[in-house]
Amino acid sequence: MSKFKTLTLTRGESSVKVRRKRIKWAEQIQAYLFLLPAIMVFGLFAWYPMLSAVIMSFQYIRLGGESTWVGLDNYARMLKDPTFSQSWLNSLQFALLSIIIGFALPIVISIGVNELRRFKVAFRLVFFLPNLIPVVIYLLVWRLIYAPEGGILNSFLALFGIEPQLWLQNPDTVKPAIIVILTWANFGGTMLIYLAALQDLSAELYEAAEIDGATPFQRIRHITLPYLTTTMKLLLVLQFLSVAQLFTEPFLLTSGGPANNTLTPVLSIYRKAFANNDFGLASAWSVTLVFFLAAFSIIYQRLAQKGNSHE
Amino acid sequence: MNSTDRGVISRVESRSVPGRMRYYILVGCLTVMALVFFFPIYYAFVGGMFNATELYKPGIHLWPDNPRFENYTDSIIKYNLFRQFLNSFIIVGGGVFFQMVVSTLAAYSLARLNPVGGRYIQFGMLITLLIPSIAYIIPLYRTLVNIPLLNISLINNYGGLWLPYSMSAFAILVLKDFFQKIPGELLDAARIEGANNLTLFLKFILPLSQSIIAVLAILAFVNLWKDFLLPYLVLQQADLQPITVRLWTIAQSEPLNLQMSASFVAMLPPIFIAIVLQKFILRGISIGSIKG
Repeated sequence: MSKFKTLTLTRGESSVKVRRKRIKWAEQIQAYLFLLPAIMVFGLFAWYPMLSAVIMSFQYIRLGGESTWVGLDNYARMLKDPTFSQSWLNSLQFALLSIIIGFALPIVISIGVNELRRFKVAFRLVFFLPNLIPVVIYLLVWRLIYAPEGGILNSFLALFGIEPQLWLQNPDTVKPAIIVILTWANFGGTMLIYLAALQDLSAELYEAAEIDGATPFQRIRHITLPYLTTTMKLLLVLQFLSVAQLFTEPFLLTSGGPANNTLTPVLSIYRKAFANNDFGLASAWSVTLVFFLAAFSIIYQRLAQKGNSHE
Repeated sequence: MNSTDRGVISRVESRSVPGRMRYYILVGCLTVMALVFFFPIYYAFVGGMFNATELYKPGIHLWPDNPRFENYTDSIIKYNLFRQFLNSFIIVGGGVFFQMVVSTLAAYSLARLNPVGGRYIQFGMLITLLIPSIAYIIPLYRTLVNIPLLNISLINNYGGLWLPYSMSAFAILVLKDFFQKIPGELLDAARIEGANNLTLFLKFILPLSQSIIAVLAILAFVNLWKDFLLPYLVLQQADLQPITVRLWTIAQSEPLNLQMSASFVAMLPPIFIAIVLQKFILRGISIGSIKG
């Protein structure tokens, strides 16, 4: 048996060697012709910009385009900049708020929608609709909802005797206000992912628990939620990733204000590059962001692989 | 299927009195939530029918006293919304088309033609999934201002969006998986008949993968339609801009009620797509959640 194994192994190895020596060039040329468009667009619009972000972060770049090597100077300037810690701190606060406001919601709603015996499709659609609306358009509507005078939110709260608030101008309310918009706009997709996961949950588990006398809430607590843990972890990391890239909402709605309270790393990068024309400094910020996002992405991939191998 | 056709609560339980009560409470809570979530869309709809002063009146108005449906036609004509929709369709349609061409070609090569070093190319593509484009948006913009070697600028040119949009590692990886599952015997038989790679690709691979391509195309369409920053940077000329960019500039100086009616009109195509193509979008999202 063992002899046979080694025999086939060596045979396999030698055939690999032979194949390696003889690359069929005609076939390779064809293979690369098919790959060529992809290599060109990835090269021009991903690999080259990524590389030049790293290079630019060590350079000082004048408006005309000529650049001088300045070593770590951009990074030193970045760390000295008070808006650096401010942006990342804001980002962290946004992330925590989005977890508090928006993490449990899709889980609860998807479990609820999954129980429905009628109109499931309609409910799913209504919850998913905001996901499809472009950011500019829903921001116009939300700006009106939050408007200090005549805004529907203040009018609604006035029914309970609550004073009108300057939602987007007050440092204390602006972050939750933006996270509410983000949650509204994005949670539909998350809900669909949970719903898809719930589809695969075997009904026999519920039946067994029911026979053992577990109440519906106990069933959710001990069967549904543990079953969703892998998905939850994945979506938690994904949520951190997307909040770390927050840009359009503060850019259009608050311009980073009031008092830099909604300044995010990406918004800072945008300003360094396009308002101050300091591409070197902006690149140093970008490289920092890349490291941060890549770290989270790697965690995500690890979790995703683990999740797949469990199944 | 009948054994899995239940959730937390079984059919027998749901027929009992407390079971029914529980079900109605659940339906009630979900309905309230759905109304809350639907409200901004409704608000754009009614807000668009108010006259300019009514919108600012204190108190809650969920329906205007004199609905002005003409606001919709006014905003469409005044802001030239159809032109912007057309721009959006050209930008997004072109982006989706090029993305599908580039991705299917690359996926076919990676799945079937064993290019030397294909593994490294695939790794390079995977990197773009790990690092979102927002992190290198500035050098990307500079590249579009002056394409290396060619020395041409793609600013104020739809090519400046179509080309970056045509790159999707996600689509390539999903298609590659799919192409690898197509039985090899079929392709070998065709090859013996004398078909070359291009005929194989056009006559066998593409027709066999129509449904997955449709799913990926719709997913790309929805995502590209929502994109803001790249079109905002690339298209500075107002008459080229898609509705998602142009509407913001217009809104800065226009009456609120017309803003709302324009917003509502702009919401309609994505909502329409969602209703008609719901099945495809769902499939796309479930592929996405598995792939990561």
